Amino acid sequence: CAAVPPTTPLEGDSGWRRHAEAVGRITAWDLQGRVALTLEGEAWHASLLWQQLPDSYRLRLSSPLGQGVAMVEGRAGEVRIALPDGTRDRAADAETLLRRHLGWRLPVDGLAWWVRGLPRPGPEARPRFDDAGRLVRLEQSGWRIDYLDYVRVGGQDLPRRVFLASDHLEVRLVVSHWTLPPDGG
Amino acid sequence: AAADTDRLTRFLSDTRALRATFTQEVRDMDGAVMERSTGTMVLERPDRFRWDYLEPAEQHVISDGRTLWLYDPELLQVSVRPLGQALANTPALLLGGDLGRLEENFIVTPLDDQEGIHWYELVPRDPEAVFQQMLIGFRGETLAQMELTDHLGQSTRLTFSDVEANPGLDPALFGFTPPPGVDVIGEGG
Repeated sequence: CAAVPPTTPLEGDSGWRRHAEAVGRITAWDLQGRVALTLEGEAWHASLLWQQLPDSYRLRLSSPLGQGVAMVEGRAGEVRIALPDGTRDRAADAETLLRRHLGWRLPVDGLAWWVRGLPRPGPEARPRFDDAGRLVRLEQSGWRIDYLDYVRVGGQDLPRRVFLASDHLEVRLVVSHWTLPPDGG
Repeated sequence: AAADTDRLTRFLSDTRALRATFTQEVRDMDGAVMERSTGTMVLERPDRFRWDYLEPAEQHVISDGRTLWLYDPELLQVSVRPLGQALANTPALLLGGDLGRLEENFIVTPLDDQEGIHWYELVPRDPEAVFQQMLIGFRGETLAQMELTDHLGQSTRLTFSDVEANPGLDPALFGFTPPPGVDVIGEGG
């Protein structure tokens, strides 16, 4: 779902709760970065542009030399994908489309929380925090997520490097720019 | 006036090696800039090249003619694959490729000059090519710009400066040895 409810499951100390509450209020962003996906012994590099609004998002993946590789646009209940070979497809969620066309089992809804350094609301989460009250590692929904470093953006700490691993896929993300709307969305 | 293709042909036949700095700008189908990066590039025929992206972040695309390395230091990872299957019809291969394959792989059309730049349009004959159309622009005999449009309406403009034709190049430039701590994924050609 593209809609991003503001609250998150909060345990951990007060530092974490304050941090999570503040970051949870961010529901719109432009994220520019690079991602490396490793699946069955083959790695695949792309640059990523993630434009998120409270009720919709657009993900664009391009090869290092800028060629478009995939574009995913989502609104509550409907997600569309466009691929360079002209394929256009629609489904209720992004994960179905990414699996169908690119072979990745990637929970994009979950990513919208994990990329902010938050557990997704609902599934059981096993977090580990650093002394600044930020996530260092999170295990949730069959993924192990490591937060290597954070960057200060608009008064909040947001992840800069995130490595995610499930049993069949590894995703490494580095953010070169976080851009937040003035009121945080 | 639209020159014939001899300038492009001369460039491909006379330029055995090249060194330049570049800026790369990727625009979406509405023309908004999605990404801007700068770096340096070297190439040597056939098929040896090295694109070192420096800003906003370091990334390296290296080929020794058989193997392609894509190294991202911040992601602590290098992906390795045979060059052949990785880069058919892309600019890196074209600039490094030989003249014979140009006509074989592309429909070449000289365009009218614009602001002192002589443009050529190259349309890949293979519909599966990574991009729909490529423009190459020369200022005099020197490579000035390239512009690639892909099937998603995205365009990448490469602007070259400090262009040196046939510089002496250290062969080690076209190899790669992963530093410690970097994950190596895949095998070469």
